[in-house]
Amino acid sequence: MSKTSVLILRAAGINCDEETAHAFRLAGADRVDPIHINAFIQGRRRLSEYDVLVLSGGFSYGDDLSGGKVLANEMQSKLMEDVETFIGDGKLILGICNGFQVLVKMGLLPRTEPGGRRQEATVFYNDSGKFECRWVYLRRNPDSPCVFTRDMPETIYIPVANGEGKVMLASEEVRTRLGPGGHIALQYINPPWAGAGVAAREITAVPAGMAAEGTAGADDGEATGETPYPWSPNGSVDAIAGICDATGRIFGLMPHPERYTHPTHHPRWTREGCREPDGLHIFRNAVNHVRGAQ
Amino acid sequence: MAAESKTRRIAVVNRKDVVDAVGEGLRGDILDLGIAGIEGVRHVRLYALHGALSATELDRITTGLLTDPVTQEHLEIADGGLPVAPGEWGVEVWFRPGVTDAVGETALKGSRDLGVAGIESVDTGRGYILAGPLIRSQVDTICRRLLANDVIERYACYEGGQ
Amino acid sequence: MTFEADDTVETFALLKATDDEMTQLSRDGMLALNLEEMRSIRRHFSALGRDPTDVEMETLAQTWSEHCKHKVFNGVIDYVSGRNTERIDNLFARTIRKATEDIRRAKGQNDHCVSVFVDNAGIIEFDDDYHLVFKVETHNHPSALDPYGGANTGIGGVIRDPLGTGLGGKPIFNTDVFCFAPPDFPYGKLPEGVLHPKRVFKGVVAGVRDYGNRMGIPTVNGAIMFDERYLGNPLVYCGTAAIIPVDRCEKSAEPGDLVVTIGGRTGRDGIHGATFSSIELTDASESTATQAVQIGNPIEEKKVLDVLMQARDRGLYRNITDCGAGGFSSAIGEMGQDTGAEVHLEKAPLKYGGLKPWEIFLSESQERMILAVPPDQIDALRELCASEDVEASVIGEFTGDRRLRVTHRPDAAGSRITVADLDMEFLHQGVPRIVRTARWDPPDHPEPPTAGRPGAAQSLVRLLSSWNVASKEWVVRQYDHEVQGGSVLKPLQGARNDGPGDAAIVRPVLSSDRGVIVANGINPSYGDIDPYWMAASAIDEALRQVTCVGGRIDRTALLDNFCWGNPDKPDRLAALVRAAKACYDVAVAYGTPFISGKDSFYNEFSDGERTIAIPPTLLISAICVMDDVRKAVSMDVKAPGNSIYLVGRTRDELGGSRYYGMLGFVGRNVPTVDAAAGSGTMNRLHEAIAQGLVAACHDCSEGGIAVAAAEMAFAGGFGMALDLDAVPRDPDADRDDTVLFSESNSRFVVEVPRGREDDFEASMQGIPFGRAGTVTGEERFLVRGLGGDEIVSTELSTLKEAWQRPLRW
Repeated sequence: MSKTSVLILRAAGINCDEETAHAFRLAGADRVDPIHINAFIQGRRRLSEYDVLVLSGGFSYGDDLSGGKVLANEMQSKLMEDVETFIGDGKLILGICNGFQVLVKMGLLPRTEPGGRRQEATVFYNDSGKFECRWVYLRRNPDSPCVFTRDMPETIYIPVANGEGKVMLASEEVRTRLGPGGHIALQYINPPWAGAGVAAREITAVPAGMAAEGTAGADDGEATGETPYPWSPNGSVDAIAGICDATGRIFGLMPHPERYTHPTHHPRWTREGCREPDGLHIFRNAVNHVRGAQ
Repeated sequence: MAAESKTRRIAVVNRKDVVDAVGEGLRGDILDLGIAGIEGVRHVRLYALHGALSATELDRITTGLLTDPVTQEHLEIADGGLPVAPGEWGVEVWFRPGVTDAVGETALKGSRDLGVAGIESVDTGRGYILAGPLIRSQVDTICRRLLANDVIERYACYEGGQ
Repeated sequence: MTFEADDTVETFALLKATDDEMTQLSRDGMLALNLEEMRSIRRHFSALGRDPTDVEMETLAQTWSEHCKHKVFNGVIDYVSGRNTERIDNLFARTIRKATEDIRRAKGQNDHCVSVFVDNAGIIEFDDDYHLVFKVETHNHPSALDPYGGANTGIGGVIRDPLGTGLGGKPIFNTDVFCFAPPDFPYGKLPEGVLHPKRVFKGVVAGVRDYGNRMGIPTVNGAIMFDERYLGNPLVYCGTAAIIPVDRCEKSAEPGDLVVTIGGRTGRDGIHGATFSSIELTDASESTATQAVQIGNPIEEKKVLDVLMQARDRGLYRNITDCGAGGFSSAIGEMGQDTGAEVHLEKAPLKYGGLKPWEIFLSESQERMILAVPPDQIDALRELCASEDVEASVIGEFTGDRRLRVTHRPDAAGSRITVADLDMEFLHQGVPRIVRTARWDPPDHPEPPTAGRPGAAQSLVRLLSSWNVASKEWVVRQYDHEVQGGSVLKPLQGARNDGPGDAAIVRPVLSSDRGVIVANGINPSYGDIDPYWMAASAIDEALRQVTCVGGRIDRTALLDNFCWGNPDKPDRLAALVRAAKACYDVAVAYGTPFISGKDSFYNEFSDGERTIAIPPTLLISAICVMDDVRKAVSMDVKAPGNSIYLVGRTRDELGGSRYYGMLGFVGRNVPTVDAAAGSGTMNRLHEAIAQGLVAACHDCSEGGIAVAAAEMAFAGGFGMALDLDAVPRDPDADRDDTVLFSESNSRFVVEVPRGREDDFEASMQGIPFGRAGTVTGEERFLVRGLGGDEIVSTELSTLKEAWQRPLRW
């Protein structure tokens, strides 16, 4: 079996690098290196050494202009060629929270066409106007090409913590491309106690032709964002929590899977008992994909 | 031809159809002050870019860095020139000299990453457009009690259409 | 980019000055030096035959400030109580420090302290690889003027304390406690120069949020207290814990080592911060204190943290401390205390030009640390810093002459200009001690009439809705309490993740199940009756919370943070003496040492006509090591059919309680502490929890049994039926409202799994306990009174809504 090398890219203000590295180690990665971006910009290290590039959570450059914007700008200006080569080599990119914001603002997500560079979505300030740290239920899209969500239960439970987590799309036309492509890999859904009937709408793959005729995804646009606050904590369109690109190998999500890798992370472990932590699936899927691909 | 060094003021606002959570929160706070006339608050991010910038470079910074392409729009304004309609008030809040402006430093870094060499420094501020039948003394109260802190900031307020 | 400094150095004409002129000099220069101290300085310089420079005067004023020297605690106090006068020579050494010394001696082999009172934070043992570092600070005065910036730099500053302890600890969590005036304070009654408490509240929360979240340090614990007397002086306590490798706790600076500043640049920020915090605020402070207020840059500090952890592990420096109050003058003055140091001011990187030498030396610009770097390591350190965009500059060296010499750029002839040359001995030991008088006159507050009190159910709902008791979820969810991936018990707990947890637990080493418990105790309202019992209760409360979640008090250490009024006023000082005495008595009885602490005085506000002092406020923070976090217990009830026990004796102790406060009274019977009984209770309860006999546990504090039990019920989503007659109590606790709302210490509400009652009762033999109820499947909270009548029957949803509504902003 071949080795799996994971790069956790560090930069000023990135602050979830250690627990993300820990999660990858738990998932069986052979080598996990948290390394500062300057090492790659200055040519002291190369992205090509790695199988998985991870942009972890934090506040890169303080999110001073907007979440992830300055790091996205820096990567576009100084590392884009290496990143494109990395993608072209069939390798994996994962963005968590701030890292997701970076990938979206680099135009790498949703990237419905391989090679596309336009920013067609954004991650904006929460509707609540404040930072939200809370656990959320997520449903995976079984029809998504996303390799990170491939092998796991239909719903998982992990925390979010962000002030800018509202996924918005540049146009209704972009939205029509997301459903059929299975780009919406994860959506916020109601918790078990909030009752049925208000779950996020189903996003299922539909024949491309139907989307081209102008229907907005699987069902009608009226059904958007049905998971209410705070279960959908940011006000994302279609309760989007995570998005992948057309290949399924670039994936980003606002919630933090690395924060549920130990049974005592669960907010109710003292009443519901210890169980297999949901967050690990995402890291295992990545490691297993790399192993299978090699 | 080399551009001359000067200051360009940029205002970044949410598009009309985008929720302005900061503005909404402030509207609630203003109601708390007992000023019932407040009808709406729009939050504006202000940047003062100092340096010699060509038109292309300015656009690269404003479009590529300061403005979210999906949710925001920007315009260049004069000092005291927020886009305030008649019946609205504009408020600008800027740091006093010497107060740490981390956002300004980050904007400078981002601009340089874009290859804009002529940029010298960036100051940041906040703007507010207040809608509703307000009189100057009420706007002053809003500024002092909520929007600006005289210890570290200076502010200016002006009525639209004047 | 580099900036040029202004070269102006002035001298203070001290040698010929009269007493009046010296007083004037101190006041005009915002030096906060009293006449006795000015005379001392004059004597010293008379012997040298010259006047001091402004750099020297400012350095002395700073080093001798209350903020740095703790002159009140270390001074001499004549404590008058009734007819007795007791001379206390160094209150700190005789109470707080003595408690720790006595406890450590008594514990012998089991002493878990590593470093106490000497470094920037206290250190205790954690495991074979790491020790635990903990510090809590206050940032009150700046937060009064600019809540956002004040709180922002408060948290930024306290993070640098563990980072500057030993050779640098890695922060693992923050804890924050605030005291404000009520958010619904009428705008019309607001004095000139005072920000409205709601704005202060929101600004402080935002400041802590933006700094802590950006640093990637979880804020896991806290409290918010409300009292109108905090109107002009809100209190902002910020604390940070860290882990440090066991072989990185020792530090020293050797002659020849380089003085290196790392991180942020120096500007005119925070000039006079230390002396400013030793002065009462007035309505003019808002405009005169501009330079004392600043805004932090958490990303700068995060970058510094990132490179320091690497530099520490590579052994690139020998000593580290933070630039806090007094900036370079205090950091370098302290680090070079035993060696001497020479500083070249022109080498300090500046934010902008025009700073005078004394401003550079005294500046309190944020995000700076000072290192002592062996010359053969400086290149490696520089390279490391450059690789992550952190600025590091050599600004001097440690000498061997025990002098603090400060020079500025060479003059035209090329010789360095000395702008300060101070004897370290005089700088650190020369401050004259002050004798103050403390006078204790016990207050007498009437008890409320028993007639006309509201019913139990109505009182419970009103208490749950009071600012002090109500849910703080609005605040908690704005703090990232999960970052670093070590969360075990979160601040919000229960079936819907929204019940109020007692203590938080984190697991700082991700590959280990060993945890750290953090809790706090604070009850300023008891101080209105007797600050002795206030302090005793604060310790008891912090230890109760530790016990509730599964901690043990013999693995617990304490921090003390005193926020007080003007200590020159004998009544304020007497309150301090009484609180400090309680700290000794109760800490020793529990065997829990103090490892660090802080004091903040002059928290009084004058609007020209009247002076408002804060209530004497002591925050006790507790930190405990837990071997196996999987034994932890949360406060929410778990299942219908389980039994509810009351553990600990209930007394008629409603004095200073929230219930009396609600009735508009203070009362007489303040909660006392019987630490011998309390430690027995806590130790037994710990054993019961470790044996798995406890499903949920919550301590009785504000609002007593009623509030604690109601919180457990609505957090767990199950009803509860309680019978007050089964509550262990003193004979004079004979009224329903006394039993329900008394705030007697050392008490717990405990849920025991069905079928384990006999085991639990066996484990509690000799401890006062009573099986006082059961968890029910109905969503109602029921209480049967002493007379057998049902006195409360309220829907859980009503109680929860009452508790959540006030701060649902």
